[in-house]
Amino acid sequence: MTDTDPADRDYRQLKRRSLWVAAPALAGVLALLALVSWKQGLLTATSPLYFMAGTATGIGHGMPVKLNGFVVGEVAAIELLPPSTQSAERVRVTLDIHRRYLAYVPRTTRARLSQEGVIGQAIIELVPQRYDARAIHAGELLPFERSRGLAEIATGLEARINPVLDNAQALTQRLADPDGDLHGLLAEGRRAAAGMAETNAQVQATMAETRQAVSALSGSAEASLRRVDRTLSTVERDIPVLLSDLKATAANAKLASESAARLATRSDEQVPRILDSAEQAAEQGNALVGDVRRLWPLRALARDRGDGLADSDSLDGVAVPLEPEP
Amino acid sequence: MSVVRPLLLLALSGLLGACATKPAAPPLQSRADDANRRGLEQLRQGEAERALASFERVLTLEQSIEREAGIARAWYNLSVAYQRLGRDADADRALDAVLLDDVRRYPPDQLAEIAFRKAVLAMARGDTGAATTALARTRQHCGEACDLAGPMLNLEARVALADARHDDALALLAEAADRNRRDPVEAANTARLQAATLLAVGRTAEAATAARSALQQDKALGHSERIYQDLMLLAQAASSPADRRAYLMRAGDVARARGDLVAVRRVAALLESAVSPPPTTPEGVP
Repeated sequence: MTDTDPADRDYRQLKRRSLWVAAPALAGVLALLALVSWKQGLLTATSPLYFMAGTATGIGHGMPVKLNGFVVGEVAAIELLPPSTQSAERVRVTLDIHRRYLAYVPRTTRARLSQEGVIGQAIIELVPQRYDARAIHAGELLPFERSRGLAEIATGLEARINPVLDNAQALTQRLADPDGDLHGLLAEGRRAAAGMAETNAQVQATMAETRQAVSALSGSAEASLRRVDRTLSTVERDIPVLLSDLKATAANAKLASESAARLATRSDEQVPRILDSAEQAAEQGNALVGDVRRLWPLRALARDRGDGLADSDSLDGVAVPLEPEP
Repeated sequence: MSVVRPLLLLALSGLLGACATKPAAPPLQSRADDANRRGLEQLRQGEAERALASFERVLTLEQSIEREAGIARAWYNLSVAYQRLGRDADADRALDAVLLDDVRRYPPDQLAEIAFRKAVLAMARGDTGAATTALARTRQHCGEACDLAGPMLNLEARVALADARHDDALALLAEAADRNRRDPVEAANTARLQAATLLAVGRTAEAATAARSALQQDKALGHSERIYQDLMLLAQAASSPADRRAYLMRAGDVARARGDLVAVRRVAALLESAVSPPPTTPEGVP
């Protein structure tokens, strides 16, 4: 077989054509591989940063490292170092940080193990303490901390809520006590309201008489009648309110008189305490009113200076020396 | 053609530039600014408690975006709100939150404002040493063309007056009067301090003139507490018992109207003794 052999020539041509056909497919596969590598970060230059932890619990290989919410690297390695008397932190974690983000990490940064949201994934968060520090260099060691977990938060919350619940329970028991203040008050209120039925009937009668009187005036001028109608409707609207107020006032008066009688007859030892409390409340009320009155001139003292700062001048709260009292 | 085309492009660029709007502030910054405006308005309305809550919100927002100028502003405003509530120690601590931090983070003009406010609070509690220290720090943060130059002179004069350095106080106030011409509040403060200092050295006629000037300005500003002080200074500088009595009565009326019971008692005591000649050794004179 020679070079000029037609069969050999045909074979070489076929081979060349096959290569031309296969080349795009091959190029496509290579491009796909390159894309996947790039997406996986295999082609991204990284620099290592380290932190030491007491335990590797919660830290996993490949865990994302975030700065201001951006993924800037991942956990590359977790190693258990030999025992040392110098430090209890024997777990060394290596973070691979994408080199282009390294300049964004100041030297004051702390690494924090935290969770995104309540059920989100665990991440290593880079938390800069100040931004005016120099950028961190590859290979430096970061301080490490763990954010509080849900269990710890729940425990803290429980400790704070328990006393509140206890107080609420005690209050509920006091209110539910049939011999307690609230029930006595309600019972006396009901009795007093029942006594007002007669008064109610009298008021209703008066209202009916008013209506009759107004009817008698129907022959008067149209304008006067309209005014009277308006008056009557006002009376009708206001009477129930008035009646309700009357009931309440009567009930209060009755309660007050009964309480006063009880207090006077028993000479209850609680009386001085009640009076003291009332006096204190009155004093506090006076102080409150005084504070409010003192506050009103301050309205004039506050001026907006346009720079978002509240106004305060060189003698804010500083009086000049005044003539002393004789 | 070669000239026309660049010109057209330039004109088009100018037109587009003119149509461009200022980029909106990021949401958190806007929220912080809004809350701050709300707090200032509440302070203006005398609602110091609500203003305090607003400024606390501002501080949280500013800290969340680490906007240093906003953080310093929030601490300053919190300090004012605390002082309005009578919580002077908290007011001082709010300022320390900035002054004891890494001050390189904050703009110098705000540091100067905060240091000056610390000096004012120190003077309010009568601590002239702390006031002098804080004033020195204000000067350190204040540049050459500092807005606080006039107010600082007033406060320095007040410190000098408290230390019975009357000549120093008068010299500082002469300079302050020039510096504070355009600021009615500080100009009134200067006049009031001049009146008090002149009274302390026995120059009653000049003191009366200065006090009258202060009264006129404070009335225009509606500063009730300071109107009371001006009237008291005028009573002290009065040339006749009748004038003295009239000024004391006016001061008493102002004090009563604003509910200042301590001032009312002081005026009543002075009125009772008005038949005898007024004391010649006012506070601050040995």
